[in-house]
Amino acid sequence: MKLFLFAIGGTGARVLRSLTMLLASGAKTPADLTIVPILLDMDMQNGDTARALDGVELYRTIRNSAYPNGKAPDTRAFFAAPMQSLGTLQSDGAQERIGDSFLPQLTEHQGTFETFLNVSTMDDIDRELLKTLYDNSARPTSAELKLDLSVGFKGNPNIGSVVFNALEDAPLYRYFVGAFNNDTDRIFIISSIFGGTGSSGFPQLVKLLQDPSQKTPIRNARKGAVTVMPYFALDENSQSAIDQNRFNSKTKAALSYYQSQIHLDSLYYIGDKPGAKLYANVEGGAKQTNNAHVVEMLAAEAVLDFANRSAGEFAGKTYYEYGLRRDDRNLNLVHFADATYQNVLLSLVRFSYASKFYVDYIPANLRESFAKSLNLPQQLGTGTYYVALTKFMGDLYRRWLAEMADNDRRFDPFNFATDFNGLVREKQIETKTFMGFGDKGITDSFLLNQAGDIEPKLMAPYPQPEARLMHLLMAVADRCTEKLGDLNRQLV
Amino acid sequence: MFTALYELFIGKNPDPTYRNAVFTSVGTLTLLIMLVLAALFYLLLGRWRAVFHRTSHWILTLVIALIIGFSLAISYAKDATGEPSADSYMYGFAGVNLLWALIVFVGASALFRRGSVYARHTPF
Repeated sequence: MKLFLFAIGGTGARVLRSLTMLLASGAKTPADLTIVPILLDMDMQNGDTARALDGVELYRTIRNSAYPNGKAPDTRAFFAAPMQSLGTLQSDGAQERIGDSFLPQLTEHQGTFETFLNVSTMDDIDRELLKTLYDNSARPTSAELKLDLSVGFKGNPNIGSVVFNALEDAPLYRYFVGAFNNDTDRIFIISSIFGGTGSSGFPQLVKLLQDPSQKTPIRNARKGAVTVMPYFALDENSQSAIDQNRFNSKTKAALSYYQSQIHLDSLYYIGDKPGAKLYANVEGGAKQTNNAHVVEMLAAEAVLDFANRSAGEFAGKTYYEYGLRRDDRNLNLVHFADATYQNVLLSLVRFSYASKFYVDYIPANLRESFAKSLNLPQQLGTGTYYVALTKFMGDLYRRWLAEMADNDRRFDPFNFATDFNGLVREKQIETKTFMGFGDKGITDSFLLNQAGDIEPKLMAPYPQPEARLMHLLMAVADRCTEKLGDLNRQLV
Repeated sequence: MFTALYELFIGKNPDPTYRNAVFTSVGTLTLLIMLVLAALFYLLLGRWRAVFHRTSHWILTLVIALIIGFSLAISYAKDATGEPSADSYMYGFAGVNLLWALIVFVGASALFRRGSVYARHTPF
């Protein structure tokens, strides 16, 4: 089953970033799932989009080497679900190639909204009508008609909806239509309701997908969406075109529109009362790099929830909302519902052990037999796969966690600065020693014994060192998780 | 075989005891002890736990093996010939036996390391 995943705008990109982390950690997915992420954004230089793309590209590089035959051993394996770009799929009747990027070009237009509309060629009467619809004041950059579209719609869905209205004729959409041929494939859309790009792109895209003239497999496909409602507040910035005071009113207006106009199988809604941490009010471009937020992680879980539902589970239009077990500002693993804990969070625990083992332990133990057998002394700092894995596990994954830990709400379940015994904040692994002997928890010698024991057994089934390393990481992480034992699920 | 090996380096001793009772016994005993030491390192400790598996541990084992090889030759030759103290021939013999011990231990290491878990790449 292919899941065509439209991630629209900055929030779409940030949720995709979280989804990439969840998939890397082995969160529960169907065995036959292939995800086709399609980032839709006018703002091709957006910092959030760049970080999401970086993650997806690394994911693809790692997965291709870790599973050379294309199949992960099970659905809980790290990097289990393939992520494929739309341009790599076969597309019937598509006349234009769209490249291999996960961020295909939405429109070839570059310039202001005014030039997009070809205002200079309009009749006077049309021009006057336009002035009644859009702000055309003297402000050189923030007046609506003067907005530079190369950094997105700056929180103005009334502009985005005009641009997205042309989506049907965009090469990327035509390519998508040609590539969508299987009745079991599904469509999911990630967008925000309070910004510019997501809130305008989502209804336009749904309108296209629902159109009676649309080809049968698309019309019949199971479709879902997660709509992210306001969950953060911005710094006051009078120079910015983004007005956060309109977030709630825009949300209300859009919700009433969705109620009557959006007909999908599953509609997930998530939002949060903004915390004390204010985001920089950046209109777009490379400087827009908002910290990861737990709301984005839970929105990413909605994608997995939709993918994990069997065909028989869809019974007409269904709405979902997410609720925490208790409304605390500081969240730990115990705050989330059992389904999230089982399907997502335990995978993060396991992946965090693997991250610490690969990034912290292995480089300090390259003389050991298991490391030599995997050619790690030669490959760790130079091989494409190993460098990508280091970047993903050591940089991207930990930065994502660190950003959630630094946000409000705060989600800070792991402490990478301490040893393995203290990695999971919720439970310190207890050591039972007497005069230096006994169970010391997850020590260097424990890890060495585990890796030394496991790696030779993997040689026959996985002769390629890249695949063997990935299986070793999973097996060591399993042993660490066993050592950790069950976590308390009672809120105190 | 052992007689030829030792006499190749240190020449023939006028005392027939070396040929009749020392060379073959010491050579065979050295071979067996080196095999046992290598097996202990790779197949016993090297499969039990990662406690004695590094190159430094292997070098320590090798030094012990060489001391055994050297002192075994001296002690056996003294006993067999009844000499109260070691002469230069005995030292030469011990030196060749040390070399023999070295060859056997390194060869056995190359052979046994594949059967080890934690010392598969020690020291090579």
